[in-house]
Amino acid sequence: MNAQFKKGVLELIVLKSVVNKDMYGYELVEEVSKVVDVNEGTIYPLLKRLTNDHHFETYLKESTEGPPRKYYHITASGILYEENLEEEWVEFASKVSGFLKEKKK
Amino acid sequence: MKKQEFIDIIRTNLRVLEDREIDDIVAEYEQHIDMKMATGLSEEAAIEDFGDLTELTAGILEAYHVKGSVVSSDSINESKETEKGESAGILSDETAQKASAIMKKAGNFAKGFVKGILKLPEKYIRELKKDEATNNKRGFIGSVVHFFKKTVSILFRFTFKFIRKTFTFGVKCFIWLINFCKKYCKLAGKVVLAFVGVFVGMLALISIGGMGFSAVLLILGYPMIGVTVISAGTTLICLGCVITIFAVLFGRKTDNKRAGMSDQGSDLSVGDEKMEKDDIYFPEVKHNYIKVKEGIAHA
Repeated sequence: MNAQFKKGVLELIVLKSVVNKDMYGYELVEEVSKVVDVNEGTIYPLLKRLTNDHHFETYLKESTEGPPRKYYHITASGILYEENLEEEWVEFASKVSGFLKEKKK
Repeated sequence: MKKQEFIDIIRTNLRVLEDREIDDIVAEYEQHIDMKMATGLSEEAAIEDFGDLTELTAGILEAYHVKGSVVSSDSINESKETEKGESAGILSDETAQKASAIMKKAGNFAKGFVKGILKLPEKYIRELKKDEATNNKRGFIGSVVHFFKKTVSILFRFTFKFIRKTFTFGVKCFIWLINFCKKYCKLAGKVVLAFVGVFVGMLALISIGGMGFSAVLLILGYPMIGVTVISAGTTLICLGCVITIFAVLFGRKTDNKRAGMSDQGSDLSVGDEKMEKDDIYFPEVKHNYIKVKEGIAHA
């Protein structure tokens, strides 16, 4: 998939993944990788940015194996941001596909 | 690449962040690598998935609103330069840039001067050689006079050029200095005022002493009335000055405190815990507000 495409939607996918359930870094990377093929080098800086911009909060939670894990929790601001992005994406996608259909005729 | 090597690179590239932040980031990545290795991947392969490390750390720094391309572009040898940058950070970047430009210009100026001096004999010989042919016609005295004339004219030209260059450079420096002072006149003024305050305060003490001394002599019957009045006047003036100066200084100080606080506020983008305290709910409030406003608009 086009790298530029990925970059734009990655944020939306990451935000959406955390909406219903808090996740830790590795889990999130796996979740996102199901949809788009990205490496950790792109996701972790994104998580950091979303945290610094207060869209995420983090907390440590003990795990049965290994050291405590850092969980990401979406804030109210994050939810609003995600909703905005989603709306934008849906509108954008439908416009683009509509355009493509029109040109096919 | 081994894990330790990976961590070292990350730490180096992120060195501008606070240690606490770096530890946090490194711990998370370390854990990620461990988890990947637990699924059967090799250490190298687990780290490979992070992609280009310069890009990774640049991305992290950008999350702190730091230009990643500047800081992480290379390794430890640069730390000196960043230190320099940080110390210049006390002043504004613009001023620092201007200062370095001025320094560069001063360097060029000095270089040009030395070059000019070094070239002088060469020029001199060239000029003299040019005239060698005509010299024979002039005779001995004529050529000696000509020689002196040439020397004087070359020296004169050199001096003139030097003065001209010095003048233009001086004007540039002066303009820069004025701009600099304008920007920092508050600070400089404060320092000067403090010095003046201390000086005048000392003067006040001396004149108080003088007044007391001459008053005692006056009472004893010496003709010291003039000196006493003068020192009393000086004391009053000095005390007035000191009080005014400290009043001004005190006023400025509170101003600066306020300014300092707002400065800190803007600096927080580089990962500071104070940010969390004050601002954490603010964006949400703002978003909510916008949302509510939109809702009203829709209705």
